Amino acid sequence: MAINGLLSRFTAAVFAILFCILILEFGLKNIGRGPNNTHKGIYEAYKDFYKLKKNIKKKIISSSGTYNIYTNSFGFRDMKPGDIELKNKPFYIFLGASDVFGDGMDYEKTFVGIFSDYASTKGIETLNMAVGGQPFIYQVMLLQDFINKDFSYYPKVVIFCFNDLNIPTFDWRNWKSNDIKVVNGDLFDSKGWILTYIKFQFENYSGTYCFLREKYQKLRQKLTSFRTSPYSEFLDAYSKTNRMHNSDTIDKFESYLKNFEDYCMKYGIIPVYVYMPLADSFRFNEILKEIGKDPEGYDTDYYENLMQRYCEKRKVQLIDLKPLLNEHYNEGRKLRFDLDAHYNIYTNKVIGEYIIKEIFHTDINDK
Amino acid sequence: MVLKIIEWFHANKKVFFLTFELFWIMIFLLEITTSENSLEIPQFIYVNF
Repeated sequence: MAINGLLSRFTAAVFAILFCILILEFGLKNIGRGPNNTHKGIYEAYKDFYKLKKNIKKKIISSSGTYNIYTNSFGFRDMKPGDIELKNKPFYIFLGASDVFGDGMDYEKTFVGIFSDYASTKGIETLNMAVGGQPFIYQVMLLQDFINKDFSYYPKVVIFCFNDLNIPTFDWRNWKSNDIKVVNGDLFDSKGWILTYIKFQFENYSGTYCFLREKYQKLRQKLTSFRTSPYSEFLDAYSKTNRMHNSDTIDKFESYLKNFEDYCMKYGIIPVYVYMPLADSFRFNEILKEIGKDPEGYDTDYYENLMQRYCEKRKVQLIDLKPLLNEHYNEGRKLRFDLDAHYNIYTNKVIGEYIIKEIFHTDINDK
Repeated sequence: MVLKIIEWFHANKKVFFLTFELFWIMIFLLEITTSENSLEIPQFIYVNF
C-alpha cells in the first residue's frame, strides 16, 4: 500500500515535470530561444570529406540570426537555387571557408554577394565555392573537379581567401578527425558518432535541452574554476610555437601556393589572394588576459607578414584586409556577431566594397 | 476511467503543484544567476565532435 502511494506520488511528480517542460518549450520558442538549428542537412559526402548539396533551400536559425541558404545546380552558395549560365561569360570564383561562405546572413549581404552584385553589372558571373570548415585541399579539389568537367570555359580570376585558422592547416585533410561521416546532411566524427547524433537531435528539436545545457555550463563556470575551454586552434594559430614559424613548414606552404598558381596559369586563370584576419584577433590581448596567458608568446601579425612577403616575391595580387578592418575596429565598430565569431553584416559590407575597389579599381560609393 | 484519473489527480495534487512550483523556482533561479554574458571564443568548427 505504502509502495503504491509512493509510486502514485512519483507518477504525479513526473507528470508535473513533463507539463512544465511542455510550457517551457513553448515559452522558449515564443521568445526566440528555441532549439538550435544550425547547418543541419545542407551537406553531402564528397570524396573522404563533404561539400554542399545542390539546389538546396534552407532556413537557418542560429546564434547570429535567421537567414537563408540557397545553392545553385553546381552545389555552390548563391542568391537562389537553379542553373547558372557560364558559357561565353567571364566569371570569377571565390575559394575559402565559412567567412567566405557568409555564415550568419543572407547571400546578398555577404561580401561575396555584394561583389557578385557589382560584378554582374559588368557582365561577370561570380561563383562562391567556399564551404564552412573545409580545408584548402578540398577547396582546390572542388575547383579542379569543376574545371575538369567537360567545360571549355574557365574562370578568369580565382580569389582565394586565407584566414589565421586555415593558413596553419593548409595541408590538413581534416580538422580533428581522420574520418568524417555525413548523416542526413550533418557532419560527424565517425568514431562514436551515434551518441553525438542523439545529442545533436536534442539540440535540434528541444529548446529546453539547449536552455538547461547552457545554464548548466554557466553555473559550472560560476561555481567552480571551470572555464569554457578556449578554442585551442584559435590560440595555437597565433602562438610563436606554431609549426608555421618553422622554415620547413613555410617552404611547404609557399610551394603549395606556387603549385596552385602554376595550376591557374595552365588554364589562363589569374589568382588573387585575400588575407582575412579573424575578427577576434583585434582583441587578442584582451582574450589572453582573460585566460591568463602571456602575450609575449603570441604574434597576431605573423600571417599577414607571411602573405605579404610571399606575394611580393611572386608578384601575385594580395588584398590585405587587416589595415582596413583595424581602422574600423579602432573606430569602435563591432566586426563580428555577438554570439558567433564570424564577420557581421557591417564588416561584410566593408569587405565587399573593398574587394570591388581592389579588383575593379572602382569605389562603388563614388557613384 | 475519467473519474479514476480525476480521483488520482485529486489525491496527488499536492505533489503535482509542489513539483510544478519547484520546477519554475529552479528555472527562474537559473535564469537570474546565469544571465550575464561570458567571454566568447571563436568557433569555426562544423563537424559535430
